[in-house]
Amino acid sequence: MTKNNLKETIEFVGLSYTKEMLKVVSVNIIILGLAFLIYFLLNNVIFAIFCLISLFAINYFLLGRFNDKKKALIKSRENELIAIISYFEVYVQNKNNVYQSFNMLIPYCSSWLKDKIETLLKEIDEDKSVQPFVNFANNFHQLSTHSLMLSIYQMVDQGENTHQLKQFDVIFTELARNRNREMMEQKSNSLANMSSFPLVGAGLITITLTMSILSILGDLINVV
Amino acid sequence: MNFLLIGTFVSLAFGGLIYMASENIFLCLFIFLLSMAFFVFLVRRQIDKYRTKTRRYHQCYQFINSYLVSLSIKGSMSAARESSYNTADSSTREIIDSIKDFDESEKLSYLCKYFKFDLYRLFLDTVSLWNEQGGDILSMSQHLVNQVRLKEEYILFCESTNRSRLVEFIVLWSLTLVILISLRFALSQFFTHIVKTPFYQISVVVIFLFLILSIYVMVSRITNIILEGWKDDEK
Repeated sequence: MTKNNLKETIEFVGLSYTKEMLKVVSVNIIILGLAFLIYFLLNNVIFAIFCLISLFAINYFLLGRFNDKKKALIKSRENELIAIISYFEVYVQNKNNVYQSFNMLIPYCSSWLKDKIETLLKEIDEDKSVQPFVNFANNFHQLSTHSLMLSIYQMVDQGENTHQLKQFDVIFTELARNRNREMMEQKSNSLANMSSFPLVGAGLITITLTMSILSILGDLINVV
Repeated sequence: MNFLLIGTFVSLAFGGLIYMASENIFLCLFIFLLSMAFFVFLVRRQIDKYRTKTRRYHQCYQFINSYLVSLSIKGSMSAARESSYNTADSSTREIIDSIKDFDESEKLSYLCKYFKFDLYRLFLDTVSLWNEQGGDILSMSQHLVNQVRLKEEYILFCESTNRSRLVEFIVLWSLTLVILISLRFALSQFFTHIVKTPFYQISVVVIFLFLILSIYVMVSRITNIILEGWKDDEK
């Protein structure tokens, strides 16, 4: 990951690049200091090398977590949009126009989405073309968001007639179904990973007993 | 089942197992007290919150469905409320009983404090619109009912997955701990020497701490369920 990419990712998740980098540098200095102490004061090469290897692992974790956070944030925003659009569908179905329906969604939104919807409404006031809807869809990475917003624009452009509502409903139903399936898969996968913990536990037991037996055997050989 | 009882039983089991593995009463006490504190202060709270959240959603689902169906048949809010009251569980009935003096719209609005889900607020908006403008409530609430049902399916899926994965997790950890204890007897001659080494004693504690950590991760994942509008500090 380049410096610019990293900076962009950290700022995307709402953190300060300088603060986060300061944390990473501090952790590096502490672990390097520990490795030096172990090597020069305790003369223990193995533990010093272990510290350096751990440093790589810790850096990988510290720098990689921003990307994970970014992915999670993008996913949660897309999930929120689908949830919010399902409410939009209820309002449109109940004879509210597109503008009113978006307005009625604001109490349900997170501050981020609220800000985007307010921008969309402001842009719709000034520009009656498809552009405000495209701009709104650009906040999301999912391609289907664009088709969804285009079908909403068609409702504005051609009136909220039955045909337009049906078209919107087809796109939205597919999205909602996918989202539900994804949420179920996510749940299932997160719990499936849990079986690795007992396996790691069994590994720890094996290592413990092997090392203990070897050290006892070593002592016996030394005595003989 | 009483969660405190399960927590005590599991903590006693952990204490007993670590005593068998390390023959050290201090380690046994340490793991027993740590597990007790972990189950009582952390796991119980998280499980209670999760249970409240899912139970409340089931009640909300039942209430919305029953209310809308009755409203479409009887055409009156009071009759619909009466009918959904009859099919509701005791805690929802208690809430409705406590607001007997309110008018129908106020009763529904008040229930918003109990069913703190976005879908319930959407239900309220739909019913208010029906109350103001009239129309066919079933077609007005068609999409709402679909969303409520999708969410209910999601929760039922989560509950069944939680159960099966939890059983798998318990069985795997039980087998792992059985290995630890059976090796203690299998290595009887070595064991008298091994058990005295600090490395072994520390390792056994690390294994049990790892076990407790894995339970924490499991509980966090089990209780992680997305219900829009509900905040985890809700009561």
